[in-house]
Amino acid sequence: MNLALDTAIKALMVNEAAVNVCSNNIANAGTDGYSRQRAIINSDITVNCTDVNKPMGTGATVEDIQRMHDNFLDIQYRNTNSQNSYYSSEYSCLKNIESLTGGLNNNDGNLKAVFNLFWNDMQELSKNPEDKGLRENIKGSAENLCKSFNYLYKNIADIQYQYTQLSEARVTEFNNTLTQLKDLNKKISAAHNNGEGYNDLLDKRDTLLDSLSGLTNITVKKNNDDSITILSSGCTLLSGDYFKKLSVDTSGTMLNLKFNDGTSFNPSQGELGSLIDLVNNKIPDYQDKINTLSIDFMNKFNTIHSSGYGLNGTTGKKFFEGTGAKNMAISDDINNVSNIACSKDGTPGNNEVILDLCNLNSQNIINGGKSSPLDFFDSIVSNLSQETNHCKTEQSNCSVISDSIETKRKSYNGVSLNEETVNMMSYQNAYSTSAKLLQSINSMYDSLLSIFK
Amino acid sequence: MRVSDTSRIFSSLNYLNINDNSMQQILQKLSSNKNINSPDEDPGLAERIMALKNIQVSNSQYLKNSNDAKSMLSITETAADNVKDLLVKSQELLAQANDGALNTDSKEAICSQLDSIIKELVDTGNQSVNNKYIFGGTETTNKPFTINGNPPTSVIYNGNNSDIEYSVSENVDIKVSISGGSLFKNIINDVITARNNISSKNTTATSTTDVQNLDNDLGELLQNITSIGSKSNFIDFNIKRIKNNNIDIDIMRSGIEDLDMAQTITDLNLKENAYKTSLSVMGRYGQLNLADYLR
Repeated sequence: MNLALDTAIKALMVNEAAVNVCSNNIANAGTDGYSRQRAIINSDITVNCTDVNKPMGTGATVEDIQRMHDNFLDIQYRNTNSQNSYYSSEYSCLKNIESLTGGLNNNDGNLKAVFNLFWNDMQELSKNPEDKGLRENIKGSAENLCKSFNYLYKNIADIQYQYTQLSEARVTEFNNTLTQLKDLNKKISAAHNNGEGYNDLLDKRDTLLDSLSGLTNITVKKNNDDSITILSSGCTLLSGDYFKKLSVDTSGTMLNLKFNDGTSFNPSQGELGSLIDLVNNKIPDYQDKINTLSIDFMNKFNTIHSSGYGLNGTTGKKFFEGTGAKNMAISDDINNVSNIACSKDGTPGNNEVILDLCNLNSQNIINGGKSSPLDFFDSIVSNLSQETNHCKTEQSNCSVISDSIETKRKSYNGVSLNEETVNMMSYQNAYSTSAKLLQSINSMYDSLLSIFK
Repeated sequence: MRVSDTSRIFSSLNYLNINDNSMQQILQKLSSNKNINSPDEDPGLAERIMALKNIQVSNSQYLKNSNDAKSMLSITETAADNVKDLLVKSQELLAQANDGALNTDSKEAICSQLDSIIKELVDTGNQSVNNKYIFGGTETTNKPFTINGNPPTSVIYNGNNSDIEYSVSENVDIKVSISGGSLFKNIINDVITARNNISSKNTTATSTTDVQNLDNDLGELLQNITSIGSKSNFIDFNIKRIKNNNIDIDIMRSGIEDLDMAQTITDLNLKENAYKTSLSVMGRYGQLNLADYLR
């Protein structure tokens, strides 16, 4: 009967523990990153019952509180998450540049529209080259053209600066995450060695790893003491409680990520990977193209312009000055609009030079004679749109995949209230029956003791 | 598959998001009335739209240039017609003067008529449009003709024989002027000579050389008028071509860029239904809980 009493008491305790686990699950049903837990209940050892000389079970015992978590889905999720954040960062930056170029709208103050206005004004002047009013128009629209080039160049440079700033913020985030992971490594390995539970720490660690995977591509290796080693693009980011602090090096012309031991870090994926690509390649590339357009156009325009004669017989004057899109401006000579050269022979009505200047629009003078100014600008927009579109497609593919993995992960790791309710009912029933059992055993003791009255 | 509450909420939210996104896209299209709002939505189409818009921009400029060229030519044509009338009138006067029975008074009357014709010819040659002289070649700021002597002995042409061209289509420049040097100079000089010959009663010259010269002048003038006419015809043809081209391009651009309203509104209805359904499913499904059915 003592055996039965022991078993009944253990049953009470086991079911209470199981209800505890349920209660913890229900409490965390909405907690981010929480993995449901399950009480692993095993039957206890069998002993030989001396009364009947037969082996008998001694009830149940809680083996472990298991954390239900699928590590394989984590790996899949983090890989796609790295790609996802890479492409979404590229997309938002390229989209920014695309909107600066004005896209398909010809009637806003974008470079293309201003270019067209300049051309229209030149055409008008070609019909009345002696008209000072039309010359003033040209001067105005040329100033606008220069300003549009200046703004576009400056705005792209601003984007580059913003993304450099952003990469500093992301590097700080990266270091914070790794510091927290380092602390967790320490705590987990200590808890592991002392045989304590650390399911909550594992949840925290997985959440941190998820956000780290958004910053860079990572490979996670588990060590014997449940601590982890994190590798990324050939660098060890964290191993035990060893970790290297990352910093942004902008001393050169390029954006470099460097660890405090001097080694450089070139992630291929994640937001950091995209930031390096954007700041070092993509943004300067478009800036260069705008520059090429302005320099080639200016040079060719000036060459033709300086061969012509102004209203007052002046010749050899430059129309534009500056070294590129950054500081393109109309030259001081043009402030006197009589200096605008339309004539080839010095007669006021001759318009051959201005007609030649008009024709530049459709001549292949840009980029080593490969395309016309308009075509070149269109090709910049077109390139941008293709790259933007590519990033958008990749990003939406990645997010479909990562969403489906995340759904799988949540459905495996997450708490189901229905399941908990059913478990709770079954443990609750078992608990009340165990209590009933104690009552029976108690009355058995009573019956036995009543013999001695 | 196991379903947990978090996965249920996550995927419902996802579906809502997807429907939300496609609703937003359609609404954006409807409000802008455009199929593509930024080039990255469809780079291929965007490239074609940009190319078509470039043509439209240059076409509208070339159309303007063609119209201006046409008005320049018609001014020239009117002037040439005027000159022709004056020339014919001088021929008639010359024929009258060659009548041997004419007395001195009558000859002087003819001379004074020829004087006013010369003045009119010079005025026509000095005609200006928009503050520029149109018959001085490219010397547009100086008066092309000045008369020497009174009574006139000769006319001085201050202009040159260069032509002014307008750009009426890509790489097509057309001459819109005839210099006064070739249109007027000989005529005026010949009329002056004839007038002086009549006045000095040099009958041999008047009866043969001067008549011959004026005949030649008329022939040349008629040739010039014909060439102006054929240029005008070319410009008319060009204007028509550009207009037709603009219509074609607009149809093409509109087919690519403008929204198919009926299709989009049908899409909107479909998406709206899907959105409503996902909202209501989420609302209903979210309320269900096993605990509600336990007593």
